[in-house]
Amino acid sequence: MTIPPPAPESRKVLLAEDDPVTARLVIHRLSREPGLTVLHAPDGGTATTIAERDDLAAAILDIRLPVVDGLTILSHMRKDPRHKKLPIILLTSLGSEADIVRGFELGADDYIVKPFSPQELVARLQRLIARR
Amino acid sequence: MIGADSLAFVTSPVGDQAFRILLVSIGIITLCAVAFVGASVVLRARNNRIARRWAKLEARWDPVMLDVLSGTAPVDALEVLVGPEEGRRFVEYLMRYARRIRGAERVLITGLAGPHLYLVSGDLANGNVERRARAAQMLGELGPVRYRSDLFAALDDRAPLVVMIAAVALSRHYRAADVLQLIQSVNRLSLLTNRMLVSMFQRLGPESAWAFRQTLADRAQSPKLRSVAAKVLAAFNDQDATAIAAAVAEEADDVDLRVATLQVLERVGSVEHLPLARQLVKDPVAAVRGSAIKILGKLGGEEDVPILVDALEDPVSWVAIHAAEGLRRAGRGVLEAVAEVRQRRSSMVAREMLFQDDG
Repeated sequence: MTIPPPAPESRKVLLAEDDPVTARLVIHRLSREPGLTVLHAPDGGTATTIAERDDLAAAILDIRLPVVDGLTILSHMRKDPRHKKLPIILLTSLGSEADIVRGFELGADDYIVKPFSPQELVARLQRLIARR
Repeated sequence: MIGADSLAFVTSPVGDQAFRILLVSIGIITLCAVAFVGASVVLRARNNRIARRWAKLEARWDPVMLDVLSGTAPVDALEVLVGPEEGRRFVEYLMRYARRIRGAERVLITGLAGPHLYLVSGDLANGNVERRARAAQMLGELGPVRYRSDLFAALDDRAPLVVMIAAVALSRHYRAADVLQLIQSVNRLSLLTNRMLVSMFQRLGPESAWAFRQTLADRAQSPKLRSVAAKVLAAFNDQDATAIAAAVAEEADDVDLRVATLQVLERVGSVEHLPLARQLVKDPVAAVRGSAIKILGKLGGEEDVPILVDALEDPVSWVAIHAAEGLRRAGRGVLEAVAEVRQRRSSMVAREMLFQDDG
């Protein structure tokens, strides 16, 4: 008799992104990864609520978000003991080096510049989750 | 209360006619209003119908598109869903993704757009400016190499918006042989500020510096374009541009052009340009004097200290400040000596500079 391997526990990834096309691309790409569930927040307020409510495996935060910006969410998340070591990737625009520097100061693990390859984003995310 | 005179007017033939004209006018206005409302309703219904049709098409394309981009469906799976009349709309749809993606996925998108781009290139001859501009944008984004000649032709468009979009697209995907043509074709973009043009041209990279040197040296080009070329060369720190810049600074009449060439010398000039700078510190134009002072402050030696000290008395304050900055490089001693001399404007500037240092 063979014992089936245990079903991998679903790991939640927060995606804070207000652009619906980008969000759709990332959600579709991440949903193909086994064991990952995407929680999409179209604005900073929703992202903060999800971050406070859920146990997350990783977060992808767009820096420019309505209501609360990505850097503020990052700062809040790093103050929460549950998210101290959470892999967090920032999505930023070309030429916003100051935001990137600020992001690293606040504890981001990585950043990706828009426009980006969804494949690359997922690869970076998986690498960070595996390192955790 | 209506008086007898008023009653007589209404019942007279003249009053009768005026009343008829009034009625006819009200009738015409009412008819126009009804026609306007009718036309609005019809147009609205037409737009809604078109929007519904596109939404339906996109709903059909979108799931397959996402599968194609993630590699779970072949490109053909999406191509078969595009009807013969839907090519242009499909390109519009692809634009949405093209602007958000790079890498392998973007290559897939340009491949999908390829067979339909000829429909867009036709729009470059359309009478509507917005349509031409959109066409230039789509070709620049999805087929800049294949439609390079169309984009170059768009540089001659009568609408600056179209020219600007074509120029930006070409500056992103240019070939070395095209650089000069690209630079000189935007000569008439009066809507764009020098700063915007410099920023656009910087994307071409230092390997295109030869074309900017040639443009700067070419007296047939406008002073505006030559100043932009000088600023781009300064941004590239192009050592090979100094001889041309010095010659233009000496002979040109246009103030912006002279200042721009002096910026090149300030960035990458050498002691051989000091005689020119010394000559220009007496120029009647403050911007030229200021630039010359900056060169002396950066490259000058001990013999230039008295010139800089004199420039502290310049009637234009920022020229004096440039002189003080130059003296600061020469050491605090000179500034302190100037600051000692009371009752003179230069001592005030020197003290300000020393104060900044101490702060």
